[in-house]
Amino acid sequence: MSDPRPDIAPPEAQGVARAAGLAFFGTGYLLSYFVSTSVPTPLLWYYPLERRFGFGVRATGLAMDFYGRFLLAFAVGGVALLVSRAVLARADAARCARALRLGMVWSGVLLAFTAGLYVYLLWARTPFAIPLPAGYTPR
Amino acid sequence: MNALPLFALLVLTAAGDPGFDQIVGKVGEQSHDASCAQMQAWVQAHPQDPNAGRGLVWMAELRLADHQLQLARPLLERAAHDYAGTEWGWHGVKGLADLDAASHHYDAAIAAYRQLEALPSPYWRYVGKMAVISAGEEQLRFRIYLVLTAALVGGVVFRASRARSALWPPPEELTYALPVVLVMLVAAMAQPPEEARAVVTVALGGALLLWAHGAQLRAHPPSTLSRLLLGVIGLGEAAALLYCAVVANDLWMKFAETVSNGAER
Amino acid sequence: MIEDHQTFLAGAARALLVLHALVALGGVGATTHLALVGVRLWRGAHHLARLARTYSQVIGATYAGAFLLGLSVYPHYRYAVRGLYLDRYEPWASNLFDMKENIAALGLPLAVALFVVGRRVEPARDRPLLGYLAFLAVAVWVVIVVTAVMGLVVTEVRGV
Repeated sequence: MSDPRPDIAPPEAQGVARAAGLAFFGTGYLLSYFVSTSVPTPLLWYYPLERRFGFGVRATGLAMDFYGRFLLAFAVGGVALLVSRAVLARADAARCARALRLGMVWSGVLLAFTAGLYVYLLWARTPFAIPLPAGYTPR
Repeated sequence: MNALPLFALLVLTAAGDPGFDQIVGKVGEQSHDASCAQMQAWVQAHPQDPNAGRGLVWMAELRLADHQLQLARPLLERAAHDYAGTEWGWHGVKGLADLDAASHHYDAAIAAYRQLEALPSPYWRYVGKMAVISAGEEQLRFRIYLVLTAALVGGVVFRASRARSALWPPPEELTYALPVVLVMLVAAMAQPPEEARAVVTVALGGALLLWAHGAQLRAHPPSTLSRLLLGVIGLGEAAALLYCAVVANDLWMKFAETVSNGAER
Repeated sequence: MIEDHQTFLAGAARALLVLHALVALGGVGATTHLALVGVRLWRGAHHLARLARTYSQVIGATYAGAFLLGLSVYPHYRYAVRGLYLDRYEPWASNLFDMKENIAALGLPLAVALFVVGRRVEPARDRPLLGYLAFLAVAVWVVIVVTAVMGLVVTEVRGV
């Protein structure tokens, strides 16, 4: 028996709404990943030799922004998920299905676009080699 | 136009006139307007000095560095006319030809470059020859750009007029591409001005093309073969849009370099 | 000789890398199965739903596992492998690895969605979700296969 409360989506729409929320999580995550790559963005950096974290747009010395970018993307995706769930909470099945289709296409397009950005940026990159410690011999 | 080599030439080879040297030497300490005013006064007072033509060209290079093309042109014209047949007169001719090329008056530019190519000096023969080739290529690219822009705009108008009833609400194709348009607009903010303009052109132009295509498909659903053909045309239009954005913003050399050497990061 | 154990978990790097590779290869197998099953399910082969649920859970576990293992060995890789060797002697491999790590990160939200949607999918109830499931299955399969190949190529140059 369907729930008569007006603030709850009908049962046949709830599963689709949940899936649409996940699709928009992906959209928000991928959007954030692209933007933080193409626009100078303050991120959490990890300095592996010093075993410490730092925060900023750029790092000095040997550092990794991978953790920071991933965490930022996850957070933005989470916000997108919450917003979409709030918006679709009372939507009917047709609206939820359209939202799912939109989120699916958006996440697919952004996945391809962002992956393409990384291939483009890294294809011919010349990495900056760090100084070798004394006595280092490559195996 | 790169003014730095000319600045270096001027600094290193300036004749021993204290007035001229002093003005050139102080260029980093005062505004370009002040430097130009001083140099203008000096040229007026010493029109027969061997550095007078150089002074005019020097002022023109300062104006070009400030993107004040309308102030650079009269200085170059004066150098080319008043000091015709001298080294600095030819610099004036070259500078005017460069301005003509930049404003897409390629025939005038190429004629001036040919004049330089015909000079006895090996330096000017080489400069003239390379400039003729470069301007010719630029002219061809510009003509292609004009044709493609007209075709793109015409295509959009044609499709929109045939599918007026299907223009609103926007087709799904446009809705699906919205995140890509959005990230491109955001990414453009972090680019140099000419690259930002090119990115915005591609993003918004692409959105417009999608809108027109989508509306047409909705209003007149095609057969499978027609759909395939329209897809190929769409890809061609996307390539044309990219070409127009690159050429219109003077990014051809940078684009070609990026394609062959990869992105800078 | 360079100092050992300068970076976090440097002493366990080799073991972590092997584990990372094994879990990822498990993911390759599971995603290959689910890509086929997911598309057939979407096209009406509803008897494959149980397989889809199983593979979705396996993929969720292997993707997350491989990702976490990769994150833990990354500090050692960044210094000892990329910093001291690849950037200087094999920059193409350094670039390839960076592509791999980022593409893997891009696939993560889709793998999460695949796990959540697929683990309880019932075709009779969830018909509108079957297309999405098929999309996720294929997309995650592409990501995992591409990153696995990239990872194997880089490891062949220099692993730890």
